[in-house]
Amino acid sequence: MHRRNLFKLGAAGLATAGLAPAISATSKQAVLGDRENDKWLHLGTGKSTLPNRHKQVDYDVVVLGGGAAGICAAVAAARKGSKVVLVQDRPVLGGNASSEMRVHLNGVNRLKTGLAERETGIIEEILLHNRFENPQESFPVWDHVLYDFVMREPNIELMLNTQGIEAIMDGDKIRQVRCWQLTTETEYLLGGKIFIDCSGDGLVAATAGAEYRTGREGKKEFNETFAPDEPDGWQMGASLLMSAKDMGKPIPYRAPSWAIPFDEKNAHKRRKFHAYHEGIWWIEVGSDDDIIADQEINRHKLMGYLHGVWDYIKNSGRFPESETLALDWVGSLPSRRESRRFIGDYIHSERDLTTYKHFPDAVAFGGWGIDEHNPGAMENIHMAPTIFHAHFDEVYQIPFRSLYSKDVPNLMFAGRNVSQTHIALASSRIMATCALMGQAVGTAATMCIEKNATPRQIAQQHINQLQEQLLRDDVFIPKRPANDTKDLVKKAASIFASTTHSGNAELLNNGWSRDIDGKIHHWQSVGLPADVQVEWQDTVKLSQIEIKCDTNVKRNIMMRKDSKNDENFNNTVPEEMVKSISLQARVKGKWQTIETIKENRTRLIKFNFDSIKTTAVRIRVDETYGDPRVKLFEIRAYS
Amino acid sequence: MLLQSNACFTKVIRVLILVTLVVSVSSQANFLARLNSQASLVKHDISKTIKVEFSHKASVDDDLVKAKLHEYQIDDVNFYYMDVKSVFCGENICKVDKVRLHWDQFGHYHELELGTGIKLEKGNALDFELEDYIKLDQILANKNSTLSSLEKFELVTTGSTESAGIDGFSGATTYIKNEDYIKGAIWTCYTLWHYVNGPVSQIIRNMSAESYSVNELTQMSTGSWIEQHYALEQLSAKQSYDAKTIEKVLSLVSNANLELSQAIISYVKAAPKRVLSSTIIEILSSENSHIVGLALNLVKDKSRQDPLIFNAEFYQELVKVAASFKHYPYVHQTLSILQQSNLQNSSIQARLLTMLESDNFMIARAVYWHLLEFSELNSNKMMQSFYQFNQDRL
Ligand SMILES: Cc1cc2nc3c(=O)[nH]c(=O)nc-3n(C[C@H](O)[C@H](O)[C@H](O)COP(=O)(O)OP(=O)(O)OC[C@H]3O[C@@H](n4cnc5c(N)ncnc54)[C@H](O)[C@@H]3O)c2cc1C
Repeated sequence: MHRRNLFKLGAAGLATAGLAPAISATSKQAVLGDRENDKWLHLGTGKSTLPNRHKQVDYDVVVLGGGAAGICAAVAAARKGSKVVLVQDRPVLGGNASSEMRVHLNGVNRLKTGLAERETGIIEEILLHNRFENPQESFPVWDHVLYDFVMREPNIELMLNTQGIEAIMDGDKIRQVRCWQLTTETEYLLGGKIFIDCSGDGLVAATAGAEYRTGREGKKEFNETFAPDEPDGWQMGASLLMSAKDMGKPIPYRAPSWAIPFDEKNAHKRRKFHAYHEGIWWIEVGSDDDIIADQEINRHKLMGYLHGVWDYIKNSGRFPESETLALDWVGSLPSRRESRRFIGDYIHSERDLTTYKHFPDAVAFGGWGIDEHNPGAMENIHMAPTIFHAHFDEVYQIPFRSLYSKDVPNLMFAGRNVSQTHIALASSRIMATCALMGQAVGTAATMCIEKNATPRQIAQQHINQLQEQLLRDDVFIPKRPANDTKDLVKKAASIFASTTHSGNAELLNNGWSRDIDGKIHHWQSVGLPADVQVEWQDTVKLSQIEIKCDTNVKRNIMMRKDSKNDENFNNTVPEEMVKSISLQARVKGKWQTIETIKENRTRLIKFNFDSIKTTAVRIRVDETYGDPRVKLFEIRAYS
Repeated sequence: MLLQSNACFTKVIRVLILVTLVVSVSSQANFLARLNSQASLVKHDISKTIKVEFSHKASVDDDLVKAKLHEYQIDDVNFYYMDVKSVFCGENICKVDKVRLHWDQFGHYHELELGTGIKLEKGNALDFELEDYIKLDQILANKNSTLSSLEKFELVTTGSTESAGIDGFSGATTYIKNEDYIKGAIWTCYTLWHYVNGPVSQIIRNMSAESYSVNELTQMSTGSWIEQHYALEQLSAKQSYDAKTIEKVLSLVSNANLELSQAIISYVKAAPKRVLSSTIIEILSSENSHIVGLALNLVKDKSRQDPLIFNAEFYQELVKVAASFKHYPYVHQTLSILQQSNLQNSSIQARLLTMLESDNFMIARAVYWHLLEFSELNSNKMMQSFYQFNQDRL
């Protein structure tokens, strides 16, 4: 499909795309890109003219913020068929995980069992894409991997360097978002049917009048044991990371004038320096008032603290090994943890996490410990930087009702700004968890458009369909097996494998796409090649087969600065993943190869083909990325 | 360097440890007292000593380890021990102690002894506590430990906490299940675990089998799961495939679970040609669904590797048995074996034709497609009427 690309099309293209320079009726008198006083003599044409600095474009879905949550929301909505614009105020995608900030894109890295329970779906696809495209584990290259991931979706328009600054309302609904594109001095009015704010800070959602809160709830409000006795304004801080490299010879360091000396005497002993050359997350400054307003002051302080800590490392004599180290990269844009939390139909809170509450509208999960950073951060140096209030035995559920606004009927959220308490955020803010929320709201957005429904109506009337779609797209929802009535494998008379080392081929049809809660849901071959056959009593018409293979969700695959590769972390493509696979079908008694994929790169493997009439299909796996056996979790078939 | 056999050892008896776990503090004190005392090595009458060479996952430069393995008896049952160094240390910060490891006749970990006054050490020059010995004992006894698949280079960073760029992440950075190692003594756990559960275990199994006659092993094959597994492995190693032994093994088939089925199939796999095919046919005639699938896989593999091993007679027998398979995948597997063998005689085809009347339509359909492609029977009446009757669902 041909890509609609604003940047490639230029002004002429915009005109043909029906985009008039617009002064909308509802937009403010003083338009941001107004150029009445602009005295431009264009020597090329010899004419005096006015530049065009207003654009108005309509989409189905407008996504604000290109962090993990926003990317997944945009990709999910686009893949389901919506025309999507993704608005990101930075030159790169990735939010806190981008090369501008370099936070590890963690998820449920480790439960109390000692194992990860990794997120699948779009976020896994991104992390795998990075393993293929960026074996050198470079953060700037990772930015481009994300860029590629988004740009290859034909239904997404990506607008970088563009900030959403105001919602333009139509009654209680958002009609457009006013945006400012920094690099082109242009104001965009982006129209849409559904708006998703994944920007963390949520400026647009706030201007739409969606209710939000900041600070910490008191214990009483949600019966939270880890909350302070009384509510207060504290919000966890932003941080600046750094990295250092070994120059092989002594490298002196002198702190800049604005460095804030590290207060060694009063520093809490849990302010640790382990692997300091890869950054220190507790170089953090928060706020108990308006953290957004404080941002620039805090940035300056953070730069001062960062250099103060580095000065201490280099010059205190306590780290002799640092003699040959030099700062190689220092952050300038603080990565943020907390600011606005918008209110939905449900507010997710501590007990939902610690009691593993089952939500009929669960669409995502989390499982990072409740990791609440202490008030004051660097300004309370005598305190431990964080308290892990709780770790989890299993993953907890996140309900869809906490991902849309209770007041603005066409507004959803994903990421750290969703409807949750401060204590819930202390766990769910982790980026892969945010990404799952993103995929859920992106998928829901397209459903809203197809059904002409609000997110609330999706929650109330179509939640089963939303969950089924997410499960089909390889999201895992705890305690919620898939049961898609359209899946023809459910009607198969027999599923069997050429060999079985563990599990059972019949489990490929049981609705669970990972081993979970101590139960096996896979089939694993003895060796390779191996095949699984699905056979029906009567002929069926098929045009899609979808397979979920193993990528080892109990082992992490995100990129890390230390390139860790052990039982818990993997720094390459998972060896379990299927590499070469083919689909055969028995048509009129003869086996035909429908398609062969030689270099598979995803856990969810899709075969789309012209409709065939068949009585049996066979999936043959020839190679994995290293494992001598193959493990599958699911096979689906659709007409 | 090997230890002198008369050196003084303090015995850490596994049973004693387990008892200690459940009894009072005072007996723990006794235990510790023993540990600290000058109690000498439990002396055994060694019946045999062999020199062994084997690989060890923790070995520096992957050199083979050379050691002496001693056999002794308790109540007529064989046990084994070997003296080893407590640790191959990857980071050159470990204290190396001498440790005596004991195995039972099945090559399973039995117990560990330390020389007098020797105490294993954790990081920072701390001695093992009682709990650590108890834990070490459990670690060594766990064959499924996560230590098994770890490579030594993966251990080096273990013990550090807090990872850069990650909010407050704590705990060992290298992942090994907590129950599988002792904090500060990861190299010791890793080294000893691989001594206990590495190649020496198989060496012991083979060595202890020397003292069993085929008859005794055959008897043992009806014992506990550990004995059954051992007996089948060693009967196969001794190439015991006389009629009596095979009969005994076949008597296990009907009630075999998946694990035992696998052990039986491994035994059959090593059988000489003269008995292989008949034994397989016997197994295929059983009603045990675990083993039938495995046996068919065996036929498929063997006939691919060595097409001459099975003759026409075998395939006739195979089809005869397959005619009564109720489970469609087995019929499918049988047909693919026939296709692979390229053997299609009239007697096989006649037998297959009868399967067109199977109650299980998928069986009948698969046979129909097979015959259509691999025989000249397309004008056969049964074939034609099958087609007429079922054409909508072919
Ligand atoms: C130092 C630090 C360490 C952390 N440690 C971890 C960790 O180890 N692993 C982990 O997973 N999480 C960690 N977290 C938390 C995590 O990074 C955040 O909670 C997470 O990034 C939130 O994801 P998000 O997609 O909601 O927002 P973000 O990642 O912040 O992405 C939002 C994006 O939207 C853009 N944006 C903002 N406003 C607008 C606007 N008006 N218009 C257009 N674009 C806008 C922002 O520039 C940003 O790029 C850490 C946070 C910090 C600060």
